[in-house]
Amino acid sequence: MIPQYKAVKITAIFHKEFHYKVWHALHDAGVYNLHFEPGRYPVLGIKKGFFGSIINSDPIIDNPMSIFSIITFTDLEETVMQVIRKNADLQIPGHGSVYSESITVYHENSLYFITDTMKSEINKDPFFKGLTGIFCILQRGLGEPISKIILENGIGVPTVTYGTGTGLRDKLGLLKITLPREKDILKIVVNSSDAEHVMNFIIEAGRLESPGRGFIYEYPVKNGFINTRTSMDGVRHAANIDQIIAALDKLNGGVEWRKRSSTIRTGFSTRKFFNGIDLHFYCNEGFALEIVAALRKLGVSGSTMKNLKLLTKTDETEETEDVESDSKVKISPAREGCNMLVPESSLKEILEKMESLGAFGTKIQGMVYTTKIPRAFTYQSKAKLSSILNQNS
Amino acid sequence: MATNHKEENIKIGFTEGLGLILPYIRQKLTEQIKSVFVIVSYLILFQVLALHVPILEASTIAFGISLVIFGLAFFLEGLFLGLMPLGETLGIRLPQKSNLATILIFSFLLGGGTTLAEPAIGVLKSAGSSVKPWEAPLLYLLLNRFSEYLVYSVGAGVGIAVVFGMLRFLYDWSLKPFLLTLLSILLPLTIWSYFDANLQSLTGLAWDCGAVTTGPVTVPLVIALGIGISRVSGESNGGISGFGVVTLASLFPILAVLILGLYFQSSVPNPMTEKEFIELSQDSQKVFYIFGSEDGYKDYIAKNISSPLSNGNMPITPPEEELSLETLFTSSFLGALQAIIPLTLFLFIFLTVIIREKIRSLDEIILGIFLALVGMGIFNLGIGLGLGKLGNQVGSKLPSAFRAIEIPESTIHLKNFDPSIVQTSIMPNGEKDEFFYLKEKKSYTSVPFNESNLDRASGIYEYVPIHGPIYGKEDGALGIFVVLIFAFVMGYGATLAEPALNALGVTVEELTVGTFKKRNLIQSVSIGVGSGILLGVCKILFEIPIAFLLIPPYLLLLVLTVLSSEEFVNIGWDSAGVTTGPITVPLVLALGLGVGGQIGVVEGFGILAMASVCPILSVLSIGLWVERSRRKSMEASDKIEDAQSKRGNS
Repeated sequence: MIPQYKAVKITAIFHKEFHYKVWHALHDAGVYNLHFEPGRYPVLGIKKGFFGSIINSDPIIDNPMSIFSIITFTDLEETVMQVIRKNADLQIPGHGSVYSESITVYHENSLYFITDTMKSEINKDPFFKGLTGIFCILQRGLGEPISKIILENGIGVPTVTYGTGTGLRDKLGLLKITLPREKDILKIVVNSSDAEHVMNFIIEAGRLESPGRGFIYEYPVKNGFINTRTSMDGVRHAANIDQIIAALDKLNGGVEWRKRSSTIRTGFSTRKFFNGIDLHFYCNEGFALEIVAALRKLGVSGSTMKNLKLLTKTDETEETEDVESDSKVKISPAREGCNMLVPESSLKEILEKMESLGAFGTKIQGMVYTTKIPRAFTYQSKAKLSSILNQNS
Repeated sequence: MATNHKEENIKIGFTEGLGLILPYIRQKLTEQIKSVFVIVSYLILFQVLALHVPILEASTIAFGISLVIFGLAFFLEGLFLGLMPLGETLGIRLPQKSNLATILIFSFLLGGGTTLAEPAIGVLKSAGSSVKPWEAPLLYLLLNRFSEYLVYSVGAGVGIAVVFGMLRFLYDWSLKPFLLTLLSILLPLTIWSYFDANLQSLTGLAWDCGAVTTGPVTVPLVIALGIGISRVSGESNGGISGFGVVTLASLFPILAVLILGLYFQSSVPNPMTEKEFIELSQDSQKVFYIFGSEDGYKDYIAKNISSPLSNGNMPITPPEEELSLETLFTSSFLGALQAIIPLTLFLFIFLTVIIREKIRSLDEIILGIFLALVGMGIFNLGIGLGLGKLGNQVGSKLPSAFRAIEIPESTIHLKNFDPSIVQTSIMPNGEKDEFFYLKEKKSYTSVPFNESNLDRASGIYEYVPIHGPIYGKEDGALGIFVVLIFAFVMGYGATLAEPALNALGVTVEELTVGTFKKRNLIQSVSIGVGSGILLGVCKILFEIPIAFLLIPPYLLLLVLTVLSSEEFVNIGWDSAGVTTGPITVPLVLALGLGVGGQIGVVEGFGILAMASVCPILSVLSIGLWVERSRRKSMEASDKIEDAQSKRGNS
């Protein structure tokens, strides 16, 4: 029986300029072994000058972002988030976001990646509840137009990262080179009551009902502090709209007041969402593909992979004792993360298979955690749809 | 997805497979057509419309160009599929599994080996075919008798560069100190060599050697290696930290060649006139040294100096090698094999034997290498058949924009030439000049009469038509201006098609998660190269010593480098090494030979060096502008926050 632990995953997204400041602050506070990947934050630019009024659409400015994934226990959750908020100055619109999710961590090996002690004294500013995250995978290149539509409609600020997808293409042998692997991963955190509306919006904007366009799901967020700056415009006023929104959030103690619609738009209630468990697997670089390939036989038909870097304690000597033997392989800073949506009933079988493949061993140094996904959507052929409906009933 | 289907590999039928492969091929081809389109259409239109010279062998050239497009598509796909993943895997494993000494030895071998495999040095040697031993003795020595030493010194330079590049990644050193140190050695050395007649002509070659070392196979491989290493080491905040080796591999060889020149400087005579060279009144031992022995010297005189004191301004035409299709074919594919196989074998052996790693996705990597081989072979063939010929034609006819040049291909033999039709004219200085009228189609043109072209026995007069100057008078400003514009657009268009730049752009976009788009990088680099080629042609036309054209831009570059962020310094300097590749170099050389031959310069080197420095300027400038707008966007909100809190406190 694989042991499991209740924990919290904190995602911090902030401008690359603050990378070292935040990392050193976390490191000094005792937070190590976090995974990092680069991303970008699109923002609508200011239309300037003569041509600005002629061109209809706003230009997009992309800001480079650093994204940290930190796993810790509930008692340390707020402290970690405060350290990040303070050092990246997140109360200023445009600097970034931080939010937490409830997760379940599996296997003793994963404990290595959880922060269980911290030394930090920091004042507790409140965080907001009532948020939901939306995770969307699209073909590479689609991230930009959809971000633009999201920004223009004032829905929120998406974060774009790069990933690669596995799935149908891996069954094609060498022909798989004809199908591109690269994906854009779009994540956005919105007010919970808006979540379904936003999901429908993205599904329509990205035409996710057609085959091969991508898939989308929502995941619950515990606490958060979210960037609100959708556009650069607004320097003309004493306060720009993002600051007003941030101030109102603070006054109202949450983001509930931002609710836009209370009813689901008619005509889309026939959309068939499904649910499942999102299994996140982080391991040393190069091994994710073979683990996922082995899991295909268990029904995991696709996954999304990304490159991560492990930031560890810097005063540890990195040299292994014996370069020749594999017995003391350290955790490589070059890591991979992949996530796959699996049905709850298959979870146990999948984890046991992974352990038997050595996913938690010294070579692969894997870590697994799961989140519950209440709603997911993608193109479903008629045959699959009926089998899913039969499953659930 | 939440399904329970237990699925194995799908069997794909033939038609289904084609349904997958065809759109894939079509997409890759369209990409390449878009990048090659500019330079090809530009060259054709320019020759026909601006120079009024029809294109010879048009169908061969068209076929050659389509080969270039196919070749590029296959080659690039092979790069991304096979070579770059191999390099990246090696980069990730190497620091983890080997000690420092192994890594450094590997780096040196890699650097040295790729230089010996890349054919670019041979290209420079062919460019040096017009160098005369009496005008530039040191240059002639290094290009002919001691050409191996030249190649070895360049190879050693690249090897050391890769070693330093690896050290930089492992210990997280910034690139800036390297650049400042190297430039502070190279620039004064270049200035000092300006004052020595021998070294002066060598400087152009030295800087050009630096520009050509990094070719279309080395660059992506080295970049992938760097990215792999930076994923594993250093405290880099992701993004642009795998770059910089290409830069070093472009700068170190310059130093190596200059040092080589210094070493041999005392053994060769100073530049002299042709008369002194033939009569050998002084420094005869040194002159013999150039050829290796007195016999070598006598051989050279016998072969190259037919009549005493031949006029120094012989128009140099590129050697008309009528290669058969077969030889061209074999040489193209052999060149591809030579460029790719030793390198990949080296990497494979290192990976499997020394590091003992299993290679993942081996089938994709092998397919990738195969595609790259085939692609490069087809590409070389296409360049030989199409782009190279087109470039040569345009390059040799280009001077007709501002000069009267002969068109040997259109030579007419006039039969039954009656000398009585020859008339005499008088020039302002009192000299007489003979001419006769020739009726071609419906108009009468006057043709200068030259006694030596008439064979009195057979009555045949050999007439070589003269073309130009088309724009204005001889050496007029308008003609020169046309040439400069041509140079700029040619540089711009050729760079758009370069495969190594494409690979760099894709990698940069991938690593910055889309904040630095590939098309922005390619456009800014192409504009930089265009300007560089324009400056280089100026150097040839107006015979400006290379030091004047190199020092100011590099000084400006130093300032920009200090001001820019590490990210842009890495990308900007690397884009320089990337630009001069298999498309730009032959075109530039044809241009240099054509124009330089007309002007009669000592040597036509230096254009490539200029084409390397200007893109760095353009990318760094763009970088500064982007950084500024990002900082403004952060400051904008910060300022208001401050203003708010101040107002709140008062």
